[in-house]
Amino acid sequence: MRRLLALVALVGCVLGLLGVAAAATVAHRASVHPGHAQDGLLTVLAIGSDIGPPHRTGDALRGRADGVHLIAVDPATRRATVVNIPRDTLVAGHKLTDLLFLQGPDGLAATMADFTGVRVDYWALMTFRSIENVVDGLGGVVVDVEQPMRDPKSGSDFAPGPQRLAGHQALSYLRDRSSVPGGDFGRTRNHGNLLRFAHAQVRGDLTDLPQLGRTVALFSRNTVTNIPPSELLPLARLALQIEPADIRQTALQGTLGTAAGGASIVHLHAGDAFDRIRAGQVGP
Amino acid sequence: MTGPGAPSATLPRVRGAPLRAFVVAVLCTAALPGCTAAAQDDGPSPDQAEADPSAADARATPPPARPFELTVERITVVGMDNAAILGRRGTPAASAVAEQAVAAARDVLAAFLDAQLAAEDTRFSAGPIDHLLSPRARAALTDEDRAGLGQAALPVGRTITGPASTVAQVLVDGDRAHAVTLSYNALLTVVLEDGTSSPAKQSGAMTFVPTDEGWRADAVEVTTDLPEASP
Repeated sequence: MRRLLALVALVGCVLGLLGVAAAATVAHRASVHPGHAQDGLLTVLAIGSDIGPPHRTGDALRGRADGVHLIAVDPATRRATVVNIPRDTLVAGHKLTDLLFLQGPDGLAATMADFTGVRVDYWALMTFRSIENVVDGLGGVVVDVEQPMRDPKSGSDFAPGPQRLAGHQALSYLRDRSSVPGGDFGRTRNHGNLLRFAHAQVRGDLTDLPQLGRTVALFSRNTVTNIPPSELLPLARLALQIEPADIRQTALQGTLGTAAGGASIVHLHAGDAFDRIRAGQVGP
Repeated sequence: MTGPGAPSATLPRVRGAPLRAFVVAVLCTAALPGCTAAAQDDGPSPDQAEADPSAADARATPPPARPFELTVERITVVGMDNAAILGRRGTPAASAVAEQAVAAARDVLAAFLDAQLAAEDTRFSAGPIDHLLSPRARAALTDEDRAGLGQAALPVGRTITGPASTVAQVLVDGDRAHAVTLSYNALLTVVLEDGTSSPAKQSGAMTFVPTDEGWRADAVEVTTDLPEASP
């Protein structure tokens, strides 16, 4: 210890003798994260396909759409609206869920653009497996379950309240329409909830560039989309720059009916949801 | 982070930072200009300059700073191929493509560090920053960001470069690299015109993407520690 003190004193003396002065340093920070930029709103149709290995074999791009959500973002104000559309909605003479099988994702996006009057810029499709992969890849997603959920068919078994769901649990949460109020309407609302909770969870990735890269790659591995690869990072940055409080979630309702073949359908009550987006109004 | 198809792999280290350079940097940060100058063969020490007229001339026009030797210590390849969820066999991420992309991004970063922090005619100016960034990153830049990247009005006498190293993460889809993130650290000593000497550094991360101008930084999260300018 004495030797150390002597060494420190010696260094001090040497510095003093040399007349060395050290200027104080100041830390300056650069934080540049340009998001996807375009005039007007950016719209993405998020599609959940019920086909995909290992759950159901077949072409995921020609499955049934279990969930369809229209996401509209204003890049200038960084506000967004997510419209959750029931899968049994009658669209162009068909159930919405069947349009993926009949038309593929490009056709589904075009039909939904006609139906809603909202231009659809991109579509992004996930499967059961990819939802599990993404949720597990994020280390689980903390979801605030609104009411008790217990449904042997989907595998859901959740008490109300915030809880971290693993991939297979998140899939059960998304698929349960038996123990949620409103049946398919309630299930569709839970789809939007999971999107919202996952978004809130990954927002911190924006300033951690390696982590943001890993998150974008995780989504890329588990999503089929027509978004150009060069736009994935700026789109992710734009999404993470949106405050959760600036996202409006609209779970559309409708009247239950029966199609000619006897299948249950929903006559949608869209209210002003699509009018607002057409007028460029998004967010709360 | 998990996912199908072995999403990430680590390639062997390209080149390690030399221990000698690290020791030199530690000495630099101890603010001993004579010592560091001698250790880096970067010109005569102040004492020598006082004693030798020719050395005094050398001090009046200090030699140019050495370029940074930016070493890539590790490359991590992160796959983006979505074939697994479609039940198809994916294309393995090509390590050669990843290495080429990292080398290209590393060269841009090294050129920036040299121009921004070392080269006498450009250091601490705006030019190197503009050359570094992608068009959309340039458009998003603020004055605060410029300061964070090393633009400063400083009465600099000379700069002495220290060690600089980086680790790389590259996003690859099959045979195409889409982004390279370099997390780096570059040390130097800044000697102001009045003779005061300070350790300085730039550290953080940049994500590079291919543009029409070549690989350019599209996102930046960087801190630069520089001497405080005199009032």
